[in-house]
Amino acid sequence: MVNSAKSTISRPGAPPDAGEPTLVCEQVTRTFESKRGTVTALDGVSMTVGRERFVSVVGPSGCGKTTLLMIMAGLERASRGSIRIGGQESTGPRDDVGIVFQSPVLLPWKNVLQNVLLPAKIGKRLSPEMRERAQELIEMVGLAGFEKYLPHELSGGMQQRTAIARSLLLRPSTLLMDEPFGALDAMTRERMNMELARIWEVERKAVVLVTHDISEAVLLSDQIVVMSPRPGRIVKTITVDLDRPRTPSVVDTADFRDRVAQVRDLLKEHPAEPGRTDKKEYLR
Amino acid sequence: MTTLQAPAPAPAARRRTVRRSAGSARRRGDPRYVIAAAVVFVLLWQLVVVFGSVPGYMLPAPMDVAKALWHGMTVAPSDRDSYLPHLWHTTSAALAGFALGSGAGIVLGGLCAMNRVVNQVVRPYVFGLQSMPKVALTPLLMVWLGFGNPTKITLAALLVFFPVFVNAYTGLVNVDDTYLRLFRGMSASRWQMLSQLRLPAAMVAVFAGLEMGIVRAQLGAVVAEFLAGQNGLGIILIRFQYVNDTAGAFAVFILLAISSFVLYRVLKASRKRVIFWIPSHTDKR
Repeated sequence: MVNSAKSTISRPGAPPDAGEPTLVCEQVTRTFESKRGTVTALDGVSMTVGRERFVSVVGPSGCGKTTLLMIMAGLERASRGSIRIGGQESTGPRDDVGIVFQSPVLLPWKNVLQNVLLPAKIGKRLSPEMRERAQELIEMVGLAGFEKYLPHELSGGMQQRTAIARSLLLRPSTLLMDEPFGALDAMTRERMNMELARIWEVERKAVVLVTHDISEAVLLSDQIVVMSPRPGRIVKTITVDLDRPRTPSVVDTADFRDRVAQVRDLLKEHPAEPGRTDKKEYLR
Repeated sequence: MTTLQAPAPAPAARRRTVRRSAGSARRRGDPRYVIAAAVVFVLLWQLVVVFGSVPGYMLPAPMDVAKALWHGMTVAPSDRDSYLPHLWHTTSAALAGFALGSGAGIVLGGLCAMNRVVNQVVRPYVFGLQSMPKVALTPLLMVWLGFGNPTKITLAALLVFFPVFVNAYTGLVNVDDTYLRLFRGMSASRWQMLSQLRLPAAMVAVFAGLEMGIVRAQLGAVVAEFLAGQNGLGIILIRFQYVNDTAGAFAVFILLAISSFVLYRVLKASRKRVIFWIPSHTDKR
């Protein structure tokens, strides 16, 4: 992706959904063998994420949404089905996919700048341009002046900002986020949601955001994929056509509340089975 | 052992709020209390000796111990009474054993952590060796290595090896799963995972092992001197036993305690430099 980040700021509304979608999941199924038999975590999940589209995946815990994201990231294998990214069959981790985990996973012995540069260092792509890029990203996520700080000197929100900057360093076409603000307190999370909306206006990527926070999903997304509990299936895909860029006041509009209610009703129709929320099981 | 994993970010965030509270000074201890306790202890000791009519070969008076220590430390090093050459022999043997044992522990622990075959071959034997009291090997070491430094160094190294090995191994293996995912997501090579993630993450555990090791090194050196020494503090302890010079023995105890403590503090200080990212270390972590 070479297109200048800045030129996209002023583009109003959602981007045109032209050409080959950036990410395509086709009939992705994932089963785990356990002592009590075969557990189907994901059952025939198909979805597409268009270029520069923001898609959220919501569902009760245990519905396999994290597994789905890890399969997209190439960190786990699908039992059946395929993932295509940028038109290519994806079989493992790749450079044009950025990942943000639920915890910031910053290296405690590296400062903010070094942490942001880590993907370049591991990919042996350190260069003056990369450093410049890292510096720009640090500024964009609002951490200018904190380049030399170690992670333990930062708040949880600042740590996650660093992680977001790191995920964007290599200009991925796709950004995968696994409940990135789940560990933050409610107020920080709300602020980080607006920050992410702003960041996405600058760094337009195809984003898949896994979350269990419905308003977070509505606030940020073009589309919301609602999943059922295990075996994880797609219940419905809801389009969110609220104006962009999204502002904090959008949450007070009737449209916003309608969408939230719609998603909530869908989730109510497919409640999590009791005793089936063992996280470890599908993370393994 | 709670120090083996790379700190998970969420608890780290919680820890931050408590750190550097007024409690940290209290935990470290006020030197005034330590000195006061020492003064009271020495006074009681002196009282017991004076009024308790304990014979000097059982419990020497503190002043006699101080005199013995002063004499042993100030007399010319060439003098037979001087502690200095012995202190040097014991400490240097302990340090050599420490270097050897911890080096072997780190290298072997690393190999076990990196290679499944090595791990399955080596680890059972290491644990088998550990369950045997290594001091019992001293007579055999004497047969193999003779009287003197090689035996001392080997025994010290054997005692140091185990805690360092175990800590290096577990530190390298027990890295938080999400960090491994992060590195796999960046297509990191095995070498990069080791050098950029596992090694620095294991440093906390390695230092915990080294701290145990440095004390054991001194132990190994002194025990070997009892049995197979030609010089060193262990030898003068034996000599003092023959001549009932209990004051001299006490002076050597003090010397051993001080040298152990100094080595331990040096290690602690270097730990602080190496593991700079862990804020204001307390013994709790």
